[in-house]
Amino acid sequence: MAEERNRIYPDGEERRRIMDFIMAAGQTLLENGAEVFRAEQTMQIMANSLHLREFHVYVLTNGLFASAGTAEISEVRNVPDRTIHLGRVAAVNELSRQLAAGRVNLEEAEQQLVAARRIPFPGLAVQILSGAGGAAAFAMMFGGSVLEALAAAVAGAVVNLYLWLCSRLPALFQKLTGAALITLVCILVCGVLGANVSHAVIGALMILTPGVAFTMSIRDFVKGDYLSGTIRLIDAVLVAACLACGTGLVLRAYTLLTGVTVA
Amino acid sequence: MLDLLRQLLLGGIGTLSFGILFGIPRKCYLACAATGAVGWVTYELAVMLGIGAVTANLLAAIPLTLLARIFAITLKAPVTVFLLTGIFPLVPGAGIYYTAYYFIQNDNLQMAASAADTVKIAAALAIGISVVLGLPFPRPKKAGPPSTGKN
Repeated sequence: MAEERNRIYPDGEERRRIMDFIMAAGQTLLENGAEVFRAEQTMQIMANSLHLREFHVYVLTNGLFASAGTAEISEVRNVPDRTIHLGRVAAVNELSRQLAAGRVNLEEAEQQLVAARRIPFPGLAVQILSGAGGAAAFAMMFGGSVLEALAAAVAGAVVNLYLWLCSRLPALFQKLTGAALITLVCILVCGVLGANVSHAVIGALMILTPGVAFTMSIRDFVKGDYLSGTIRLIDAVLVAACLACGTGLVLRAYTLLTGVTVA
Repeated sequence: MLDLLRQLLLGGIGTLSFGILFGIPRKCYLACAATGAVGWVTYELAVMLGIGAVTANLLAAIPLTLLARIFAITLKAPVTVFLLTGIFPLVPGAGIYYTAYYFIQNDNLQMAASAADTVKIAAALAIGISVVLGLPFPRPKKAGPPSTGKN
């Protein structure tokens, strides 16, 4: 076994292990918001650094396909759930740099990958605070005044608390109810403060809008990756439809109940 | 001028807030805020000078992506970290939402208008980003392990 390790090209079990590691790394990248071509490129670089011969990989927005050798090893991974955690993406990237530089062996790399996958999301208090700050900043960037920014901040804080509480629910349901919640909070707070509802709502909604996903999908198209672009595009359009339904529902209900049209 | 300074600050705060929600590494906080702020101010400046929103987005994507690439090299982090957070103020999140909103409100005229705007802005950003990412960049001079080709 030790002899085999010393050879440049790994064999048998070792190859399988390298393959598993590379697939896990690719999956981590994809799950946490890295672009398709970055996952592809990073996996290829890792395969080169670990001397895995004849490594070929095809990555989609929601899945990975790879083979090594004359397809004696091939693996498929399904990645249905994707969030954005750029800290993990950065950690895997750092790992691939270290592998390329030959500073870590496979064992250490596997441990580092597990550690990277476990980097936690920021704590609840931080999430609520940054949600409030972001919503307020965007309300003002869209032309709102300080009052509207305040209403957006309250809504942003509330919706981040809500998202944290029901993180187990389906993503689209979260978006729909989250948008409804934002609208409700904004109407209430703006009613108290006497501020303009629409600026506050759109500021707080920026937390949920799929603007980045939409732009990234066009970027996939520009890169020539039409399938991944389409998947992301449909994702973005669905999320936007859910948001619109959420806010539309609350606005309509408010008009029916009070006879006043807002936003 | 004062207004631009205010927008710079707002863009920075907005970007940083969403960056934190995206779990960016702590060492990248300031760089991400700067990337977002520069992109947003460029956009605001272009709009102030009477340039249309689509062209303004294209123009804003250029310094933004350049900055993201520079930070990626100096801070040894993937460009994605700075790019994804940096474009947050510019992406047509509001546009895509309004499109869907007018759609369910049965306001087809408004829907078509905002849909066209959204697609144009996203395409302008995507093209701006791709062009700048495709530019050849001088490698850092420091001797060391060969670059992995990712920056």
